[in-house]
Amino acid sequence: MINLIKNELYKLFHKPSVYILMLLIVIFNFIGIFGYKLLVTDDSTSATINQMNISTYETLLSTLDPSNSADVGTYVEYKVTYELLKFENDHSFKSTSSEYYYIENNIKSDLTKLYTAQYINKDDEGVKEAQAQYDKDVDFLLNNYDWKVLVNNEITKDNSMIKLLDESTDSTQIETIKMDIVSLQYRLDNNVPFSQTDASTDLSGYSSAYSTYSSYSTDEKTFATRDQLIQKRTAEKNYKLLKYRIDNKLITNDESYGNSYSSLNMFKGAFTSISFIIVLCVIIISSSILTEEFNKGTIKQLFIRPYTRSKILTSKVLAIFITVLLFILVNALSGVIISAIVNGSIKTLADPILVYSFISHEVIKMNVLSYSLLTFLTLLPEYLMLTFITLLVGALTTNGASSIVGGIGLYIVSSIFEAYATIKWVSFVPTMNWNLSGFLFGGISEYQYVTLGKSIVIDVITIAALVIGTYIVFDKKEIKNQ
Amino acid sequence: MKNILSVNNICKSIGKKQILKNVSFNIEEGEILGFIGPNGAGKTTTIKLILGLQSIDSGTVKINGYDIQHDFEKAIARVGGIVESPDLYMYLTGRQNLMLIKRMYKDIKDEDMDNIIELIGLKNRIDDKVSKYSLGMRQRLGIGAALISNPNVLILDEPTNGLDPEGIKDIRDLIKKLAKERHIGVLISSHNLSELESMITDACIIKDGTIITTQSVTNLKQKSNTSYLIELNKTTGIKKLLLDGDSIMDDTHIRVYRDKKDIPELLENLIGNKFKIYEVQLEKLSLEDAFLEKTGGNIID
Repeated sequence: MINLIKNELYKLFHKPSVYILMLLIVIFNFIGIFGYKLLVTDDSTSATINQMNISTYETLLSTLDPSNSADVGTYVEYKVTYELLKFENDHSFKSTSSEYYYIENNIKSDLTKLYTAQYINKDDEGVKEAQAQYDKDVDFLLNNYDWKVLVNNEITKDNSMIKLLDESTDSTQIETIKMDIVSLQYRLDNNVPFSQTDASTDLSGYSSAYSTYSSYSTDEKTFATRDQLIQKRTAEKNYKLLKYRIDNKLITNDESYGNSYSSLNMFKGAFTSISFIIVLCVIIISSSILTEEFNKGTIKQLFIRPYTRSKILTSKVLAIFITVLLFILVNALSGVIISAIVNGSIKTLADPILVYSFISHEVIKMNVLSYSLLTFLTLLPEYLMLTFITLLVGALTTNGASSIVGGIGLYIVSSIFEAYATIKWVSFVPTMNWNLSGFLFGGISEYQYVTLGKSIVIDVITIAALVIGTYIVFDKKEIKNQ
Repeated sequence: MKNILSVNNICKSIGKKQILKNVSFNIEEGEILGFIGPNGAGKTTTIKLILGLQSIDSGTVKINGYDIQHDFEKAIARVGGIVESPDLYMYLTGRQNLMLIKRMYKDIKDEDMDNIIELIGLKNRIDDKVSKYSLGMRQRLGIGAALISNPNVLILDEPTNGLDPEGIKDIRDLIKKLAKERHIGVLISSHNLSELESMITDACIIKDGTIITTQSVTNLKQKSNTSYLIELNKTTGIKKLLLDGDSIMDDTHIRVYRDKKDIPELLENLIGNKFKIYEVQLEKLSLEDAFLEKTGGNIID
């Protein structure tokens, strides 16, 4: 058997198709990672965009008449944006900086108040007040800027809010404010100013994550629809994970935080999901390894040997598995390496992966290897179904195009059925059950009628049928005249 | 000598059409059996049934004593074959193709493979891609592939198809050598009788899925009448010396049907009647003629 498998791999790797597919995988990774880097971190392009926008708004403003009550609301809106853009253009702060955030929030609100007072309310006192506030804030920004002051202001506000609320108030409200204070304190202790970074956004969302989570009942039986249950679980997971990150100081202003193309995520992604290029690889390899031999007649070279047909087929199946695994590894490694080169660091690989378990209702820490392997196993039914539908159609028709259509057809059909998941019988369709990753750590399927036990049974029956069908067809195949 | 290939009353139908009807023959070690028949007679189908490439409706095929349907691996272990055309991987070299096959068998030494490469005359081109080979080279490589397993049964489906006379000669010499030196039993199918004629020891004639006759080549030819072509100075007045069936070809040639022992008497008669004799030529009955006689049909397509 080993020799048969060696032969199959030898034939596969002496053809260009395997290498072309690997190259495609690497290219796709490169485009994804490099594109993300350009999009997210390049501020020079936004300067050009800003210039364009400034002249656009100039034109827009010239078309509106602020003395006209129908236009004035829009006028104020545009004027605020216009002045803001000019301001940002004059003082170039990086879009991820806390100063930029201050401009987009505080300065913007100051301008809004100013122009509302000026054009809508036509209130001179209000204008004076607003202008003074604006000048004060700009001065703070340009001369005395210290983000910690802003954070401390918020803490003070929260504390006075708590004092105001008496004991008869719902304790959740008080807890929510306390959570906010925790997140603010975290900022001070760990140097995370208000900004547009993922770290700051996560921290800002902490208190609302808590209040959303507390709004749901903990008794899952009370949820009528699957959607509601998923909302409750998502809220629980979000809050608990944030809490864990805060408690363990895992939220940092590091560029790698929240980078979906970090080395860690590139490695993980190769095992935890099946991208379309990998689906193509599985189908193309499964198709060619069988149908090409029938079409070129070389299958006879395999059949007139002292091996049963089952053994010949098994060697091809194992060769497919080995080659697909290789594609997955190429995907993982090229992703890690390109990410390390583009982002300048590979150390995210050592970061732990945080998973929320609905069994223990706690956050579990795992290293990327174990997590990837575990999730990969839950995707095996999908890999097996795609492989064997292609092989079965290939054995039946001995036609390469038909077998590829068989495989891709199944893949396309799977997404069609997903759209109709609310119909009960659709949950019996094998492709609705081929991804078991949702059930990890006590999870549930997003589809109403899909459960773990049922999925496993359907997967086993489907795969067994495809495998047995393929072996029987292959065994009984009559070699017709060429 | 033992039967290494034994085909017993095999029948095969495809749909409603019966392709093979009770086909039977045997091959012994060292024997080269020519499997002869017109296109569509069932030669390739028979070969496919023997090799397990198609199912047998009824009847048995035994190779080296093992039943192909119940003991496939043992039956096919010492068989080498080419079916319809040599099945080679065009994108690999000759050597790589042979290596793939070598790996499927146990205990084939590297030097055995080198010997085969030499035997088929491809030593200088064995490391070129098969896509660059001529048809003759591919046929030879195909035979090499069939020999790797050290078979004692060779089954060759039209192995000289598309070859030039030199190529045919090479194959012929090779096969005769293999039969003689390695005691291999060979089954060669063809519709080109003149090529087979000098190769085979026995002939099995098939038509419309039925075996018409199986006998040694010598027997086949012997049973047909031999004729002599005689060139004379004239043929006028010769009729009284001729028998029924003899024919006058033209002014100077006659064809007579006699056994060899009767020829001297005929010549004496002719000379005694003042005929001058320039040439007496034995017309050897070709296998083609013998075949035509047996099948009563045109075998050239």
